[in-house]
Amino acid sequence: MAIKELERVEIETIQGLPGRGPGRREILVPTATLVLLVLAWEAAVAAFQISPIILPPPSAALLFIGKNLKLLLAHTYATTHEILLGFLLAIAVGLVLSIVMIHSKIMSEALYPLLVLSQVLPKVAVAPLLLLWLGYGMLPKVVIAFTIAFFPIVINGVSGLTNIDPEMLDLLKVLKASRWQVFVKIRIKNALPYIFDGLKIAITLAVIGAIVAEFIGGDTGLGYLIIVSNSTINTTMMFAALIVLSALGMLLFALIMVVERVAVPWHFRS
Amino acid sequence: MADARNVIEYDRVRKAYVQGKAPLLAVEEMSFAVRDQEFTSILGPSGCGKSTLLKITAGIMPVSGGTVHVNGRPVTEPVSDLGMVFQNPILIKWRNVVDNVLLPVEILRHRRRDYLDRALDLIRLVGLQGFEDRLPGELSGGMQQRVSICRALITDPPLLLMDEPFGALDALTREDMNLELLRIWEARKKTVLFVTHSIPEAVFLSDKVIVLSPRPSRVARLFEVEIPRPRELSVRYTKEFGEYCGSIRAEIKR
Repeated sequence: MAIKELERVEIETIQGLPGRGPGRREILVPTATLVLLVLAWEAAVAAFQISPIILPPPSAALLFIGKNLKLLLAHTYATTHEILLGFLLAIAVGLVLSIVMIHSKIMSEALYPLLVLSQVLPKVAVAPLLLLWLGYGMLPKVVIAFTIAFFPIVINGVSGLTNIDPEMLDLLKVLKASRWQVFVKIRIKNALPYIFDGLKIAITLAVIGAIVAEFIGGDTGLGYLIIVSNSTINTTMMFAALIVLSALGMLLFALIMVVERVAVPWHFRS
Repeated sequence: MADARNVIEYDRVRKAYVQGKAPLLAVEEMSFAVRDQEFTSILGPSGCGKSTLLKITAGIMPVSGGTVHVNGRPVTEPVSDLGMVFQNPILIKWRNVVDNVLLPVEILRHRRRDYLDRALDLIRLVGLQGFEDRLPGELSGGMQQRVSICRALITDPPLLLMDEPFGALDALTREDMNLELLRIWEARKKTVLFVTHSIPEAVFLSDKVIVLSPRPSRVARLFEVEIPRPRELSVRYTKEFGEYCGSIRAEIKR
């Protein structure tokens, strides 16, 4: 009985440890670091009298955001729209591809080199071609965001669907589980933590894809705003766009982390 | 079929793996039988094909030669109605204790509610009451292994195959689990084939201990353990127990 009681105590201690969600320190430390960096930037610009064309103080960039909120929001909306559509398309295609690849060896052999090819080819190099084909509207941006974002989802999806303990597969064989049962009861949920890791990479790539596409052609979005700032030497506006873009990227990343905590709670309890 | 009381019969079983170009002979001319309601342990040096033998018995790995009969039928596909426990608990991380125990019920498409009471009984039997809705990640190794034993017992299979189930546990927990296993075995009268590395564990649990030779393995010797049952942990410190261990050890050394 003594051993069982020890186990009970052990379990309670494990549950008391952090790991369920970010604690106060996990929020405080990065926030303080960020604030310190911004203050140092502000002080450096003032101390060395740096021209605002080279490096505007953060206060100026923030002020610009406050004054031109409507403009920035319109461009942010356009970019977000492209990112999300590209990202959702990447999830759909990425998951379907990984399921097809684990179920058919021939499909896997046929698709894998193509997938790698699609990734070694720099999207920036292909973007002008896509714009030529798909016009200067939203579609080429969505497509570029998608082509750059789906790869980690496929790779992680395949890993997650196939990385099953061989003894677990033996157990399922002993139970005469059908392929469908193995897929539904084991593979899908086993893949979820891997897929979420893939999604975190994919969302940052989707942001890059949308911005790169906006650089190359179009008349809307934060990427477009950065290009315009560059040609009009409005560095303050460029920094304002960069700040908004960073905030957007962080927000999207955080959203995925929140969904992950709800969708795979067991992954955070061990 | 020589004897109707034999649950498992191995007749000149051979198993070869293809490794690179040369085939590797893991099991050679293995012949022995396991009787109904008998507790049989298989002992042998590492890599002598003990796990292979269990997989062959369960019908999830083909033989290269010879035959295996389970319940009088030649094994050609996964054998129905047997429970298997592996070295690792291999629980499903996102299922709580009860749902892990009920996995075989779901796979066999039985009704869950018909087995729920039985699952709760088994969980109580192995001393895990109060942990029914915990996830495996919240349990210690010993507790996880007990869950996997419940899972093997949920459909009340008459035959249990156990592949070093307590190998990863510390010595104290291991003794605890040995006692629990004997209790379950005595209460439910099952046929058990138990693979282990531990001589005292084999002697303590078994009616018969089969010692395998190094690869390619065959039966080196069969020991009948005639220590009376029910056995308590104190049996381990008797002279008789020591003699069994000694003679088995001598057989393995060669």
